[in-house]
Amino acid sequence: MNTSLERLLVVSVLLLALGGMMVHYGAARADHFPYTPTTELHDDTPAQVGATTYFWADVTAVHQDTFEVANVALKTTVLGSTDGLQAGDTVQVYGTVRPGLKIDAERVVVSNQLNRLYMFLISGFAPLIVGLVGWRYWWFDWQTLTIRRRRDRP
Amino acid sequence: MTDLVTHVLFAYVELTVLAWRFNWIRRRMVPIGMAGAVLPDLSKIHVVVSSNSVERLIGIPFSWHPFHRVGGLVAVAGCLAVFFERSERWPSFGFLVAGGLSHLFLDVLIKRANGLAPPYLYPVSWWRPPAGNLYLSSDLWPAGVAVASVLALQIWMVYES
Repeated sequence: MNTSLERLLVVSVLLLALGGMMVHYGAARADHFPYTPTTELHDDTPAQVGATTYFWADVTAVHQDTFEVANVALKTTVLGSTDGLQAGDTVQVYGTVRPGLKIDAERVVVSNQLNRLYMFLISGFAPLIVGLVGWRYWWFDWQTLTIRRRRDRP
Repeated sequence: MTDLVTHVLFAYVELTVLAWRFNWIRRRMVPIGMAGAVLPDLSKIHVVVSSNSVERLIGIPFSWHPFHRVGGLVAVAGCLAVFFERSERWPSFGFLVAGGLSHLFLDVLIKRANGLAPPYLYPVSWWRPPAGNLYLSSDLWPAGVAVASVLALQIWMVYES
């Protein structure tokens, strides 16, 4: 089979499968997520009280024994330790929903704002490293759009 | 994710050491595995375009998460592998997937408040493995360990040659 046609066929089938997974995952995720999602915590509904929830959110304000988080359209007060916590940090919260859109946190994991910035900045170098190491062994044939090995390398 | 540099360096170290042990692992496959270690973080596209935005646009449920799952990894690796010369396609596909799996393995070790990692085996299974709770994705020390391992490896290779 013609190489270009073969590629087009394989890539099309795989992208179709990938798209299908993205739609299926979006549709089925809630059925397999054992916690009350933050999207259902917008209103102070009694039905949610007592439910277990788990979410990631950005801290917007820190008080004595509580802190507030904003997440998509959610603003919630979390009851728990605020040691070392600062506005702008990212938290994972696992806890129980209480009346008044409050979460009684059983466990909070804090990611420092500056550390997260470092993570995103340093990650930008990864493709560069891959490219530099890869260039020793491979080259790109623009004529045939093919990645070829350098024959003088193992 | 830990930072992406840690993922790439981890793949470099593990594949280089494995290439010493197993002759069938060619050195040229090391950077392919490193490239594979980048693939799961294609899901970070959600920082630019959120799943919710796409969902509103197309009118049906949608999530970028499959990029960061086994199913998406295999699909993307397959798309890339067809651009390798014919004799190198299957080995490249294998090492792209292997690099991606090493990324997912490191991500299982991340601290999670609920004690469970995401369902990385999707679409095979929705099972959530217990989280390793070893480090935060934004911790600096995993990168330090990765860089130290690469330096030690380089010194050892110079010494050996």
